[in-house]
Amino acid sequence: MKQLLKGNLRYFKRTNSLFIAAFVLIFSVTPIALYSIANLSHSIHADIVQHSRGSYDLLVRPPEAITTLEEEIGMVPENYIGGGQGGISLNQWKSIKNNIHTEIAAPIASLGYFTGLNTTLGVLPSPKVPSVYEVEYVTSDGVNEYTTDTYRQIFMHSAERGLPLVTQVEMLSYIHPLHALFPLPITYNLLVGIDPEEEEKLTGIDFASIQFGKEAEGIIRKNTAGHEKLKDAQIVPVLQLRDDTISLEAKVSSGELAYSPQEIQKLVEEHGLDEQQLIDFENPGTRKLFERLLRSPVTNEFSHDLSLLGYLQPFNAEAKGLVVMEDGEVEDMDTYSDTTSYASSVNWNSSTKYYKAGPVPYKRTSDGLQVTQVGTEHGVPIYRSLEEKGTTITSDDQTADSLSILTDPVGYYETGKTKERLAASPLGIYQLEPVTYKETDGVMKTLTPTYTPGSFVTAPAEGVTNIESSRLVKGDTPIDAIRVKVADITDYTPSAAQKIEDVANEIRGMGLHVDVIAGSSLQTLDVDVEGLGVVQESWTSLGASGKIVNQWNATTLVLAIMFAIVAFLFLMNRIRLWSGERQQSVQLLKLLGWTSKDIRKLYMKEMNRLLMIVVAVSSVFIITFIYANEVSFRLAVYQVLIVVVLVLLIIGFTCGQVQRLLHNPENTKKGRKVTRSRSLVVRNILYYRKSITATFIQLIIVSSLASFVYLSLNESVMQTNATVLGKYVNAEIGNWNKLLLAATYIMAFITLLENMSRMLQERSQELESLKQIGWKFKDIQRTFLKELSIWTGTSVVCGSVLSGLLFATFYPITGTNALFLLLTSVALFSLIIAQCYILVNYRIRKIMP
Amino acid sequence: MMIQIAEARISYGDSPAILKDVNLTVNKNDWITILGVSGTGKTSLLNIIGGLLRPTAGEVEVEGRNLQALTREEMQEYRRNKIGFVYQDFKLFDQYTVLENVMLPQLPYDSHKKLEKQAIQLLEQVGLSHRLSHLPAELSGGEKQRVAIARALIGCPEILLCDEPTGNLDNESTKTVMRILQELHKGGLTILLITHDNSLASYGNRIVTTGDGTIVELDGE
Repeated sequence: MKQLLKGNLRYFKRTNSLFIAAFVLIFSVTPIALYSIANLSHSIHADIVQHSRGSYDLLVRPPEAITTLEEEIGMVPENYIGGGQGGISLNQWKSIKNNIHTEIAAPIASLGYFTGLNTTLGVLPSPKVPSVYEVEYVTSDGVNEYTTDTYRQIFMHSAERGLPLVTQVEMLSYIHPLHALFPLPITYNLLVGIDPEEEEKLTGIDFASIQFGKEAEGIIRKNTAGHEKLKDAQIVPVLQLRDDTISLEAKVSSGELAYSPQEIQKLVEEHGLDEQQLIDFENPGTRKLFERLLRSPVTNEFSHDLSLLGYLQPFNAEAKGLVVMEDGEVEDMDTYSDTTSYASSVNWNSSTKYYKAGPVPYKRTSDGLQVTQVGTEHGVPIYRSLEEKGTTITSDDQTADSLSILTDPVGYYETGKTKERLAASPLGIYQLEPVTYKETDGVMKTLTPTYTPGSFVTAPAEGVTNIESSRLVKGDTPIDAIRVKVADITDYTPSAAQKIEDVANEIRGMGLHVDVIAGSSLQTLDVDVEGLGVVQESWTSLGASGKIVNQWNATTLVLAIMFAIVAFLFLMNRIRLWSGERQQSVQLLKLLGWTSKDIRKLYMKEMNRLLMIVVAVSSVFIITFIYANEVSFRLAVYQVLIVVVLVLLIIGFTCGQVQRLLHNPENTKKGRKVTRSRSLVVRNILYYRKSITATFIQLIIVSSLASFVYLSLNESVMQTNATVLGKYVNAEIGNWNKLLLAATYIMAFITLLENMSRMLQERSQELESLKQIGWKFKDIQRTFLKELSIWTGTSVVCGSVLSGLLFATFYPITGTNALFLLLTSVALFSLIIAQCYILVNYRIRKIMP
Repeated sequence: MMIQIAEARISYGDSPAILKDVNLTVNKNDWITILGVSGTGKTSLLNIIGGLLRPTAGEVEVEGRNLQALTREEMQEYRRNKIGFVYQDFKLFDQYTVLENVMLPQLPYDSHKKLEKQAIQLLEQVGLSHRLSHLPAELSGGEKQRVAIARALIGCPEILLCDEPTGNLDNESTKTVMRILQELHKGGLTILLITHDNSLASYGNRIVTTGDGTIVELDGE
């Protein structure tokens, strides 16, 4: 027996070498593949556990606050806070806060757009001769500029001779006989109600100065005590966001009138005006004179275009006035006025007037999201409905409760710098993702909120007050949302996710809407904003981590199935080839009277010898791979497992094949039926269908997987890349999936090559006959290639259609995907035809050198 | 003079020559029966005439053309148009009908219609006009060989090389095949026929035996 075994190994030296090489490939690639899949899952799982929990877990909102759009796309707009209508009572909040599973329950109530202290802009040099001064305020949304207010005053005399001429009521508090002073614009800023204690737990920011009952006193509270009109007004303490600046530009200009004081006096008299009438800004004569002087020629003109970005802060708690120096520089008025008689007036006339804003009305169209302009305010487009509340203190339209709320800036709070976040916390309110706009030249611009209310871009909470004060503004159910952090969990593990879900369900039982924010991530959406163009806005994709995990689980499963199919076909094919080569010997031994048991024993021994060599070589390969790539020794463990499984599988298959040869010897001609077709090529294909079928099916599988797997991998990356968390996870996954894909393609290609080669070998007799009857080389070649291209082409088409159907089941078919599918099919077919060409030529050359 | 083999030698690798210093002249319309035991180079002799094998040394000329000097293309054309092969195992294509098998040698080189007409005539000639659309698997051994003869004649060859054409046939079929070959010979065809059956030698006009690496021509009697 030993001698026969040696003889077999020697005789089949060439084919045995191929067998060993092929099996070393599968014994090495399979553990690496398994390791890749495990690594892929591990990497995704670790990233999700570590990074997908934000600063809180649950976002609780009243059910009526949820828009259809949110439900449809499963996302929360980040600027939702701009239009809160309330809906949750303080009692409901307290109930959630007192739940033993709640670590933090931070309420939030969007109160609307409020203003703070209004101060002065002084313009130097002060007038020495009759002069005209003008200040124009401009705000910007980052793309367009809008002029909101223009103030003018005319100094008719040289110094010490009366007040300047004005025609605007807003100017009355600012006129000064010696200096050109103007009001700074009244800016409207988002005010949000919070609970200082819970908010501090959530953010680490100290909000003690607005603690209900222990509020700090601001300028307004100190100065309005006993004020007749404000005796019933509720003072709302406001902490303003430090370092948040207002988008503001000022265009300052001045010129000396070409009249002497005497000539002006003459003009005054011509208009029939006395001194008293001159200070009556509504007097028609005064206005007429003002217009006349404004049109008059001027000399010694100067003008400055100034960006006041960074100078003026929301609510202006420090009551800071500004001065435009002669050289165009801007200085704090306090600094300047220390040495002069210059002074800023502090005005809180508008602190009782505010705007309630609705949400941005997003519309979903076939092109994406769209927002239309709803009107203008001070010449600035507005994108949400605005409701004016209260009146100014000096207004003539006052009603009983129009002065009921009075904001009192008491200080500042700071949030630090915005950081890239993997997990999203919508309504974080302090650090909003920038909204960007891409210009035609490709330059990205960051959009800014205008200082008027109703801007598309929502500013962060520019001011915060306590939640109790919110009740004064919004009634008994002022809370728009509660951010809940669940107690006693650290990472976002499956058990943590379950606990979060349990708490969510408990709150849902209170009739509130709950979104699980843990595991969500930011996603950028294109929004077509009327008057602006297409902008990129961050939305919170709810359940992003779940989607990422599911997406990658599905993709990994597809990869694993594909690898298993290809590896199985590879294995089966190899054993089939091995047994095919021994078919004649088995029959002969049987004829010589060997028992089936002995024949089986002989060939199983031969297989065992071959497997021993395979295991040894592949082990060396794996160990080298581990050292060369600094891979974990887990790979070696995988290899041991794979070796056990594959050896058992191979022995089982081999046993089955030998048994089949013994009892049902393969007859290649058996079962071949001639189909009567007009085309000889088609007849050939149908006649050899038994030999072709295995390769045909394999080709269908390979061609369907070739495009499907790549496309689904690509789609997985694209879909998960939509969120920040997904991008991070994808970056961490690295090249493991590509390695697996490459290994699979190599195995599939080798299997195809072997099968094609075997099929042509089977037909070598036919090739010989064609040669004998005088066919030319190129005619034999053409006939075979025609035949091969017909059935390989058919299988590639079938595979591609299957791939398309599979892909369409899981993902949306786009033009790019369809094109890729087509190109992959063409490329694969070309590759196969090239392979056929080489093989056919090789076979023909063997008989026709 | 149809075929001239001069000092031809055939050997495979390092093995001793199977044929050495072979000289043979075949005239037009000769029928040479080649006898000899297995392994004495009978088939090799036919193969060098048929252009399937190049002699290791010596020359083979057919109608004055040196076969060794032919290019691959010329050799294929020579095989297709000058030579007809008939084998013991028929070498028919199982997937094609009788008619298609006969047409096959010329199929890429001539019009389908013309070939079909020609093939039908040849099949009538060998008595198989009723079997045109049958498959080889549906024919007897004798019928298969008659199809093989018809196929060998489709290119209107001048030389027919038959390698034991009756080796697999019963007596009746052998007689039929030999009668057909006889008629073809009468029609002017040159035939070289290998056989182990000495009785078939009487059909030819010359007998050649192979052995010890040489060939010997026997007297006509």
